[in-house]
Amino acid sequence: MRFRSIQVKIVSVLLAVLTVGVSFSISFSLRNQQKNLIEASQQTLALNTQVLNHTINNIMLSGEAPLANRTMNDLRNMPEFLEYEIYRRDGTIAFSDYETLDFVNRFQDRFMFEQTPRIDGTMLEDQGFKEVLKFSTPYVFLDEGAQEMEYYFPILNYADCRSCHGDDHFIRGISHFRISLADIYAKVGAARQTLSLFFLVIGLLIFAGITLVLRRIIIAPILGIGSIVSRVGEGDLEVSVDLRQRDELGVLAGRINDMIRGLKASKELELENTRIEARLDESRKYLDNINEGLLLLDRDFRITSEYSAFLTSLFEQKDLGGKPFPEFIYPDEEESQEAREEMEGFLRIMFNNSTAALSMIMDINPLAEKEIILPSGRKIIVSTAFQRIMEDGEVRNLMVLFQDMTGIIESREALEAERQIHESELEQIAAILKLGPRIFEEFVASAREVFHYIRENRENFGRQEILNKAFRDTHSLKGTARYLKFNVMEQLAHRMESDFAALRDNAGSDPPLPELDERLESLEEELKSIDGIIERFRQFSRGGESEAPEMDIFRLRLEEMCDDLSRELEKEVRLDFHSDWDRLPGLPRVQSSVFHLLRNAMDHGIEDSFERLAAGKEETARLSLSFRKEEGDMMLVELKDDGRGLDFLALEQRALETGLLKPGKHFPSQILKTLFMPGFSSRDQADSISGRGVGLDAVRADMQALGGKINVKTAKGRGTSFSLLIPLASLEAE
Amino acid sequence: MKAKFINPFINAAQRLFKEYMELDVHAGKPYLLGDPQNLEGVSAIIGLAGDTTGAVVLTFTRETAIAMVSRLEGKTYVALGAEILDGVGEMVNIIAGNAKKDLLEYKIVISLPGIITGHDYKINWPQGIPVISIPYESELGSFAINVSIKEE
Repeated sequence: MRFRSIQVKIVSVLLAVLTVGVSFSISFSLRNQQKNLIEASQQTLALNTQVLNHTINNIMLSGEAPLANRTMNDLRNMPEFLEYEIYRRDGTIAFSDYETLDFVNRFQDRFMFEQTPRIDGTMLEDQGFKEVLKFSTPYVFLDEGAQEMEYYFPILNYADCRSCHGDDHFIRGISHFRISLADIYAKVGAARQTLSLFFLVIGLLIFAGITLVLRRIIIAPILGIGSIVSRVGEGDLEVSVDLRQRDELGVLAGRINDMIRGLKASKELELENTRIEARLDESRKYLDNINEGLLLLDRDFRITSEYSAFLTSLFEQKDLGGKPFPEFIYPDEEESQEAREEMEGFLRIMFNNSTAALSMIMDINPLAEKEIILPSGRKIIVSTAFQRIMEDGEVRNLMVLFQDMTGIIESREALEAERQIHESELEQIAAILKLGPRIFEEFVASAREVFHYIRENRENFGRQEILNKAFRDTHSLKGTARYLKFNVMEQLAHRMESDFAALRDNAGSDPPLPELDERLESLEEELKSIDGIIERFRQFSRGGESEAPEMDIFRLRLEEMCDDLSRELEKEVRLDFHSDWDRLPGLPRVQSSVFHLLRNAMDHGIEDSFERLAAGKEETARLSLSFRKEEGDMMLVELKDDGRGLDFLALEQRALETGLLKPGKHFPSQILKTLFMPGFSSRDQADSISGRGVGLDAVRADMQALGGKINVKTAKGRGTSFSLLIPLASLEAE
Repeated sequence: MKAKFINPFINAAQRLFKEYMELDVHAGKPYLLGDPQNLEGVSAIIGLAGDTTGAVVLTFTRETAIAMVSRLEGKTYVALGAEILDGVGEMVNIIAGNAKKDLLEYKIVISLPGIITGHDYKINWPQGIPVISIPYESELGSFAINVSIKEE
């Protein structure tokens, strides 16, 4: 299909229509005009001719034939009259009839008519002539080609004529007029031109008018719309059709504008999508490359598809997307049911609790520093941070950040170990500075004795009493080491003590000698180091020795022990000291028992402040230690407390548990006795303060060696008092 | 009524106030509560069950409760409305949650705190068990932690 512009089409149509219309109009009207003109002329001519006819006739009748002739001649001279002739009925020209002339001349006695040349009756052949002769009516003949009109009028032989012409004929003759219509035709032609021009101009005007209007109303808008649409096609969406007509085109324009807007919106959406995708890509890249474990949780506590690649390698798990978080952290369902529930509770708070500050909730973060066992068996320690991601005031997601702390923790622990060593050294130094080296020298001496004993008897641990002594001595050593803040020594002694305890409880089994030797060695090493420090400080010791350095030291130690235990156990304690002696005889032999009793009282005898308050007691507990002279050269050592007193039921229970009592009913004295038996406290309850199963059995052993007696008085809720009655003789002996 | 049961609550409360509300609180001397007082203000009750039974009750005066929740949420409240009770509930929730950790080894279960308020209410403490009250002072007002615990 050839593309023809609508303009062209419309214009062509208009042109064709107008042309046809105009032409028709022109020709029609021209024709009409011509006809009318001719008819009018005809009528006029006919009239004129008739008039002429009548005139001539009347002239002839009046006998003035030459007048008639002259008239005819004059007429002939008129330009329009091409031919004017009167013919006789035999076709000859009138007044050429000599006979008649003569006759008339004669008749008139005058010479009225000249003889005109005769033309022979060719007229008889003439069609018109014949017609008239036949019908005796006028005959008109229009010769368009020659632009002439011919009239044939019969001249009738009226009564009046007869008088001159005789009466033997009806038609005298025929007037023949040949009139030229050239003038008329020329006029018509001129009119035709004018009319044509006129119609042409009108046509053109109409054409122009319609074209303009069409252009304005239809074509221009359509073209305008067309160009806008093509601009949109090229991608320019900022255009719009500006058409304010209130017609179908206007509506179309409006719809097109809507469409453009729609396109624009969808394009922007597309752009937005592309941007979002780009951002997603970026974040994906970020997630894949960061060296931290990062994941996002949704409100169902499931991991979203947004997690960092590092996470998969850290946790040795893949495809985390969609996995519930508690499952991910605790893969083992059976073992970790409770842990999972705790996690879920925590997550619930994180998502829903909007009033509490994050830092508060973080306090119950179960994953703050968590050891996780990976599928491969490897252990890692991760530190997690949680961050809420809010949207419209609600928590939409939770971001979890994992950091692998394993290395850090290990370094930390190593550092801590180092620090402890240093600290212990510092403590040792401080203690020495404070107390003077004497105590330490004593400690070193007694430690050496203990080690010596153990070494000597290492083969003999099958024997219960040797084992027990070794155990007690080690325990004692441990206590003193602890008091002197030799933490490392204390720990080593503790381990050695455990070994002995184990041995003792599995009576009969062979002692693991290699381990014992190892322990002993490390103990001796430690002792050497302590000795070394003491050596270095020997010069700095304060020279001034008091009169009773032992006593001073003893009391100092008591205070220190009280303070330390007080602090550690969070119990307020006041120690009252009384001694009948300035210098206690046999102090070295008795002091360890005193320390044991003191420790025991503070640990078990005295209640915590709330208990005391509930019981209506003063917050500060009272401990009273006294050394009195008794009758019979005895020393009475008494330690009284105002604590909770001995709970015989609990004691009995414990004794049954540890097998020190057989099931059945027991007297209080029996139960009391178990207190002083080795292995009284079960292993599970060991704490480094009162030690395991030692304390009171060591006291008993010491008393036995000294020949002393132990007495216990107790009142439930009110307190306990331990008394040691020792003969002075054994104290003073070397 | 051992310290080991009571201390977790005290420590948790201290931590909450000091670290998360930047509020210094000073404990007064604990004393035995004689006849249960007619209370006013807002009280939060945490129940204990298991090997040990009893209750820990935090009682705030009206003004203290309002001031504390205002500081907690960063808003200014002036009346004792639902928001205050919720806020107190939140605080005690955290305290209970934190205390729970330390009490696990003793096989004690603690309940969700209940909040009550009124002008003249009494707490019905378990019969025959003394109630220790620890009074606290702070710049936002005074409150008390009351404890009544019985060991089985």
